[in-house]
Amino acid sequence: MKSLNVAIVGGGHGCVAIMELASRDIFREFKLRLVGVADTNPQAPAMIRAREAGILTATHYRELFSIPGLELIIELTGDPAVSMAIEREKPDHVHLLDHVTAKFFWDMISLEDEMFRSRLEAEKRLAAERDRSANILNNLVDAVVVLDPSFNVVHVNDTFLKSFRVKREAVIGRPCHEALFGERGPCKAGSCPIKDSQTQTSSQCLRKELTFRRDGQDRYFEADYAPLSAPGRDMGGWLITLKDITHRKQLELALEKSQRKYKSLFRLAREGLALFNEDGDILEANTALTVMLGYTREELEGRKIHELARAQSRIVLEEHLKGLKILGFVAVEMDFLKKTGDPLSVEAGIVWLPEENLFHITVKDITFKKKLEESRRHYSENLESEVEKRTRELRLSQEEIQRQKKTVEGILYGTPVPMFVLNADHKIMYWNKACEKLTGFSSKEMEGTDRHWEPFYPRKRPLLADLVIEGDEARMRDLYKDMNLRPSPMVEGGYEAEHFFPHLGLGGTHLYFNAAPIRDDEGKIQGSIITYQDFSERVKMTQALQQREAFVRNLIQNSIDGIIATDRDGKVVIFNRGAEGILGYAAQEVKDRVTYTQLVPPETAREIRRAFYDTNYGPRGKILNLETQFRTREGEEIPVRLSGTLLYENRREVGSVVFLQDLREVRRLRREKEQAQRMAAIGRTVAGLAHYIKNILNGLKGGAYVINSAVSKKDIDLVKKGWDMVSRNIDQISNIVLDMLVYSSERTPRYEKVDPNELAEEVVELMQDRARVSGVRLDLDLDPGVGKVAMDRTALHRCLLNLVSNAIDACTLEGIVAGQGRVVLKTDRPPGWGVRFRVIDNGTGMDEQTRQKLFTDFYTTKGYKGTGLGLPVTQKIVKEHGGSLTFETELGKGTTFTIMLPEKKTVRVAA
Amino acid sequence: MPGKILIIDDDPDVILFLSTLLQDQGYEPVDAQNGVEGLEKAKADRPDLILLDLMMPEKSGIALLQDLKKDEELKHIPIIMVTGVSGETGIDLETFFERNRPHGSEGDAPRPEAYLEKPVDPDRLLALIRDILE
Repeated sequence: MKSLNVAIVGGGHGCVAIMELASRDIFREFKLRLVGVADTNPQAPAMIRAREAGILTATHYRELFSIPGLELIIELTGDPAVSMAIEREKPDHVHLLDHVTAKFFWDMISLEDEMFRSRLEAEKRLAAERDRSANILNNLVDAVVVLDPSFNVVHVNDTFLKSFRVKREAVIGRPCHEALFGERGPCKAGSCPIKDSQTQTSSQCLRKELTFRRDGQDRYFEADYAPLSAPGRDMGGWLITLKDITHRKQLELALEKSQRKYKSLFRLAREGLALFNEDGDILEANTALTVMLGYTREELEGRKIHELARAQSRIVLEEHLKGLKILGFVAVEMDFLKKTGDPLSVEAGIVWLPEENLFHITVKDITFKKKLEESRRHYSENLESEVEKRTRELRLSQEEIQRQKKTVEGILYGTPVPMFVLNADHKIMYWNKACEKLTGFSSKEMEGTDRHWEPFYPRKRPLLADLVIEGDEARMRDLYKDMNLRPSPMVEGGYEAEHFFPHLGLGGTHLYFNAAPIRDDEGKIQGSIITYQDFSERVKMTQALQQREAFVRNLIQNSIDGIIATDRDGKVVIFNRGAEGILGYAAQEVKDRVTYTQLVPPETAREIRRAFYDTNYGPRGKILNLETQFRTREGEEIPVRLSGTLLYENRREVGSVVFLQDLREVRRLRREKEQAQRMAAIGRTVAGLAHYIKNILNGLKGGAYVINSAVSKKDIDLVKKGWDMVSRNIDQISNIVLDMLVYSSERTPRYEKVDPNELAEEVVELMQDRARVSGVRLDLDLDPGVGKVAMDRTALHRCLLNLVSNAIDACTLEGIVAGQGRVVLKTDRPPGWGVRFRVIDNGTGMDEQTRQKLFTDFYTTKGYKGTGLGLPVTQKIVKEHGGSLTFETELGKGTTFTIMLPEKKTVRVAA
Repeated sequence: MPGKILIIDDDPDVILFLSTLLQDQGYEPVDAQNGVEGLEKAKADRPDLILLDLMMPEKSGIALLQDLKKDEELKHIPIIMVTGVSGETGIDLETFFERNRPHGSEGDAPRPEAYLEKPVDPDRLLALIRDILE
């Protein structure tokens, strides 16, 4: 509060009266501070009083002139000569109020004093009524501010005070923008929808989002500006309802990122901002600075910072800039020059940005501040007219109080919050417009009745508004136990709850409601107020959101596929039930604890990485159907089919998600199917085999006959021949039985370390006889560098035997000149493989038909002499070893069959 | 009176069995392991009867039959074809030869004197040989 330093010349009763008034603070805008009294008589009443109060006293008015800070001398001697003398001699900065003016001044003060008292009386009378209405207003959940037609605050409710953490006295009577934004000066464009809309007389409700800074935090409100009206009459003024939407707003704002923020801060800051280099060249200037100085941005950005300063300030500025690199920051008051040549008083903060070696200046216009100081001086000079004005205003004060009461009623009716008020007899006192809209029941039919339950329930029952009147908490808990009942955080003694009312509105309405008792000055309950908030939309949206989330969660959780999601560091963040089933971990064992590389063998980790970044399995960043291995909790490596995608946010990789399909089952089914196919093939070939076997049996029979005959002839040589015949056929029988067993059964190779060359030698030795009989040359071509390789010795023996036997046959078929046939069994070791066996013949070769049928079914070119089992058996064995069986053939030139076996580092000994 | 019988078969077991059987019955068996050798032996040894296997490498029984029956000096030698064909493939030899006979030139078609299906039943073979030779 401003204070006016006053000295009085003439220590009579007038002076005493002024002293009294000064101590009572009757002036709202300033305070009289008595700094001296002068009277020729030291025993004058005011002189005595001044001494008691420690105020300077003097016997000559000249002594008063030297009082520091003296602003005004009031002359009360009534002597025009004294008045004239003071006027002549006083210092320039001190003003004189002569006794004529002072008398007028005195009368005015007396009048104000009197009216002050009567106003207090009137206020007391109306206060009770107003307080009751105010109580209602205070129970509203939203903050409410009432403005008079000049946009001064005439009322605020408790919610406002709580939300804005201000005292009532600090806002009542202040212009709206000062009360809301805590700033002096005229209200700014854009902050007030009423002024912006230019429709100040419109009866329409205007809505705007407002931002307030309180305790260093931005708070956001949705403000409804409604013209104040009671039913049927316009009352002038405005009602602002402020809904706190800070939380929602904070979420929105959090989404905006910092770079844009800095740019817009710079551009839109209210302080002038500029960047300039060591030479003072302005590189960038914001809008505020251009406005302050009247230059365009282009003009400013070509200029030196020194040129903007006034002559004396320029020197100051240059001095400061010299020291800036040491100090880092300076703040200085100085004068700039506008484009027009007018001076501009500013407060400038300059910062050195060492990284860029640039300077950043913040310019704050303090002309206003200076003007304010001037106007204060001006104010005291025009005290007289001010006094007159105040007096006029005071006359209106009683009418204002009258209006305040009506205002509150208007507020209740016009507020956008549905509410009604019950008196102590549970009869409806107010039923406002918003409540009419919510319920479809008019205030006319409701007010004065106790039918307030009707819109909400099918049968009569107490509402929360009834129960707070009774204070019956037990009943309240009973009736509202399913409605999330809780004490109101805003209103003392109030309760809030929420509930879905199926009978209200189309398809029901979800309401949040807040009931509070209304008490009189003695705390006795006089009624209650209940306000409603329609939550239906919010509840629906929340439910929809929850449903969708639950749906997605369910989808992920219950997918048969294993779903594993990882963050940027590969840490597992989602591990669904499918993944639990496949890998044997519980989700909580791996989530946030394990990286995906711990779930796979090292080769798989590399393989997945590669597959994500190349295009062999779908586009970059995606994998489609990669068959690979994962490692279970027990350490078992299991086959999986993997699809996945990298997750990106703003083009940065933030994690990945992979979908796993357990191939154990698929492979088992595939194996079973193959098995079934083999059995079917064996079934189909039984007829053929029967003839083959019949042939062998004939051989046996013939052998038996020969032996019998030889024995009776005692021909030992013939016995031997017969016996050979029998044993050859027995061999054939055992071979076919072995082939059938190998082919039809599921088996894993019995691995042992085998020297492939040794094996090849054995086979060739075994077949040499047959080759000789068939006139075929059988040779070995061994690579001595082939080391031992893990394989099933017996099985591979059979394979080579089959291939060599086939090769010999191919050399004895029709069209081959006897003695020209040649078969070579060759070994070597191509890179990446354990061993390669090649059986090369120069026999007939195969035609297209034969090639096609080769592996698909039992097929023989040898009539009853072949079973068709040889190649399928060979192929099966090689496959079981993880190797490959291929052939090249040319009709008339020969055929080469190749078996490749993989390098197996570890040999698992079959149980 | 027993005679000389040429056995042409690529299976040494069959040759051993048949020659032992025929020998035991007083015949004089001669054998050949393929068609080429068989034709040579037929010319050289002039057998009284030939047992000819249908399925052989190098020169099949059918081809050899054509050669034998075209040769003026050999075509009178009776031939018994020993075959597993009909049983294994469902081809009926009788029908096979009928179809290959030129129209209206009966007697010109080279045909064996008899067929015998494998497995050879010793009694049936001996009865057939006896029938043809007597």
